[in-house]
Amino acid sequence: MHWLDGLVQGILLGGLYAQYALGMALMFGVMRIVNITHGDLTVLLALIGISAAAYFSIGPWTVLVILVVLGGVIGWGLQRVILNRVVGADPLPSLIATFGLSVAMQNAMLQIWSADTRSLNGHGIEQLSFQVGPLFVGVLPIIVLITATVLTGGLDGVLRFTRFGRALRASAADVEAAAMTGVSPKSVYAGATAIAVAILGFAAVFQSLRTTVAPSDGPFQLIYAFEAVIIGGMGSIWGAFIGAMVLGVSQSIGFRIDPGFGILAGHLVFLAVLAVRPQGLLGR
Amino acid sequence: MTALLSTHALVARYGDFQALYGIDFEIEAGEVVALIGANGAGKSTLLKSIMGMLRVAPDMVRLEGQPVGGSQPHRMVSQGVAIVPEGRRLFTGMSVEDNLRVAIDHAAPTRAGGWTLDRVLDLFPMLREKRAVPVESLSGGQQQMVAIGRSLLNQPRVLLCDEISLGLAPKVVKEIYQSIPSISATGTAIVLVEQDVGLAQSASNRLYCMLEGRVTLSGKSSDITREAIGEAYFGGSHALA
Amino acid sequence: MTSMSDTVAPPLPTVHVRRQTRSGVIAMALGIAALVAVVAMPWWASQGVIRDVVELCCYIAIAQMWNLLGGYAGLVSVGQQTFIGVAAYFMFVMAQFWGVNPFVAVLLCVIAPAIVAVPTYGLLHRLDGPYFAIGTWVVAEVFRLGTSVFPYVNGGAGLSLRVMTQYSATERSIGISLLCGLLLLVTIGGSYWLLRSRYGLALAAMRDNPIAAASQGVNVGRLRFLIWVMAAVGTGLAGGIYFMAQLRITPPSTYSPSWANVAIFIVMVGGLGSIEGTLIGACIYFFADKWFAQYGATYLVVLGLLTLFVALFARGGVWGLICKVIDAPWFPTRRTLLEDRK
Repeated sequence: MHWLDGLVQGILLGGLYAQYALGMALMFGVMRIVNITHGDLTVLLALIGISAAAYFSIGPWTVLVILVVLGGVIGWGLQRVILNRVVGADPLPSLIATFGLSVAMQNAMLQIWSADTRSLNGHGIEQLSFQVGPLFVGVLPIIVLITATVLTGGLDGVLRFTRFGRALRASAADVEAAAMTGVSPKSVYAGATAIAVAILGFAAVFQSLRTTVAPSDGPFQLIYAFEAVIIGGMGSIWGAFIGAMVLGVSQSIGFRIDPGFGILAGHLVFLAVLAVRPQGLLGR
Repeated sequence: MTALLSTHALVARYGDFQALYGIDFEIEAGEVVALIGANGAGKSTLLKSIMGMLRVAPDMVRLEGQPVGGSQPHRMVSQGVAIVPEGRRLFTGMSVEDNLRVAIDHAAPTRAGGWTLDRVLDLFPMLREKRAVPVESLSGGQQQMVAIGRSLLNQPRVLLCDEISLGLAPKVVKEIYQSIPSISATGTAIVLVEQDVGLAQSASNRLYCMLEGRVTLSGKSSDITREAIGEAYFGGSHALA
Repeated sequence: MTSMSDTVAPPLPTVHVRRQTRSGVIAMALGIAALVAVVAMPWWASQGVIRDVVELCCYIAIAQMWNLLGGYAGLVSVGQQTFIGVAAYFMFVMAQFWGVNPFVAVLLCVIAPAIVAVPTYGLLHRLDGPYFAIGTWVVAEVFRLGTSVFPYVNGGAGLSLRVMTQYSATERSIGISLLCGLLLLVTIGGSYWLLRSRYGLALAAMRDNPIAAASQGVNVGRLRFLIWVMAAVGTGLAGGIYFMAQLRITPPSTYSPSWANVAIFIVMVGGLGSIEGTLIGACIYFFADKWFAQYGATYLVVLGLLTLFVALFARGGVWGLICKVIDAPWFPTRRTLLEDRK
């Protein structure tokens, strides 16, 4: 039961990680940019959400809507003001730029919100659970998993069937040729980043409901997102989802072996995938 | 009468290297104009400059007299200029139909008698059964057809074709060139950059010959002699006496 | 028909290649003087100054190693703290547990990062640029977490270098000053030697265009790997020296991501791809830290924004800006073709 419980909890954890991973997979697939502030943006959104909930006395689902919209706006702005200047063949400028921004953001958040950990008041939903056979499964984790699945499927659908999705895929394949076919690369990029950070709005709410959030948490979320994308295989939205599941399960089972081993177990599985199947589980 | 597309003393550089030294070029609606010249003469550079992929002064490229030089490529598309790029540059990982749809999504405003997906598939019938197939699995000739079809679906008034016969078997090249008259019949102006001089001459109304960034010869394709082309192609001073 | 004998090529001018410049000679003289000053610290500097200089030298070394990686080999790493940690821990283990002379232990400790560098490169080099960077971070995290649960080195509680108490303050100062001098010689001097050698040409070619470099016969993969290992060794040596001066290590202090922050800031603000940039950036960082660290998080916000700004608008850093105005390199590597004047 020990292991089954670990597996189930791991999959539910994977649902949260998938929400981190989707945006990263999208941005890297289209722009070959990894946004080092990816995790910090989630923390920022979470802290804003927590403060807003306390100040305006609003419930978590209203906060969710606000954060998703805010995420989209922030993402769009980030692309237009900063990232558009560093898109290109050379990975160094975007890495360093987002790295510097990450340091600045973490410390600014530290100044504004202090190092105290906070969480979002879910009005009881964090405690709800139901029994499935010998296991107790929380309602919130199920919601997180379902949301992750819907977001992944939705994003995949957008990429496959919509005008914007086609423009995005074309830009990912050959941005110059896409421009020659009438696609405006800057608009596509801004849209991709807006979607990526909007998805982080979901992750922000679920993370702050599930556990506490502190300004320095960003780098860890970044690493989990990255590991999920690599395990699943680059260039694949469902790959990011599967990779997140694998990571969640690894951490969960590792945690059950020894509480200090959980995160490390995830890292080791990541390194193992990198050694044995570097293109990822779903990668070509 | 203002030409549909024209360049005026067009100068272009790649960094420190100057590729074009003042090109005067023009084309009318419905015309087919060929650009010939040896490798490195500047033919592709000329097309790229027109399309906005190289920075040039605005007044050097004019569409119906209006300066458009240096515009972003996607803006040129919305103004009615499309390019079939050298090497085709199809969107790998996407199906034939998706490749074409991207062009439809971002086309210039449609005129009467514009191109539709069906009309393009009529033009290149063998693509019909390949609609859902990823473009990487097509043959070179089929890929070239998709590339041309993609540009047509941008609803261009001017179509720039950069070496569409490159790497293709003669039979396939012939098939592709058979589609050119139907395209220009709709009023679209076509610029053909072509390595094969004979093909260029027979397919076009006028031609320009370039050498080392300059135009060395221009005129009606039917009037120009082989000797004149030879001199202009290689440059008189380089010929061995 | 013109005959071949009618055209005669003009006589070729006699030329020579100049490699050193006047500014380079001056800088070399100053550099040697500085090196001597560092080694002679026990005779002219107070304990406080020695601590500061050691810290500055370590920053310079770590930053320069990052510079080689990022500015020439095209390997952007945010995980060099891996090598600081393994070197420092190996040094402590050798000196404290195995009875090795601590000063010798510092020299030997570079074996650890050299060994670790091999499999880490093997695992990570297939990753694309930005993913490679995060991968190096993950490796650092693995080492940090692993060390925290490793009972032999006292896990999260860390180790103290008590064996140093058997040396007097003067002896410690002499030892560490010598090691510092060696560190500068190896990292800065070594970089300069490397850049002036034929590997330097290969590196500069690789920096500008790896594919073109490969087409000219540069074995890009092997060179990258060599630079990776060399940078690991240099970084590890700095780590060993730094923590010998600190006398205490813990997993969070050795494997801290702030080492990466410091290296990146120094190199980017100073000037990527130039030794001059590293020196300038290290001085800027060192003094900023001394004067402004008291402002805590706000100071770090400014550092971060400065790094962002440089990456967006001034990619050549301070040295790059200086170079636009005046051409006076301190570490000249260019070869200039000059005609002999009669």
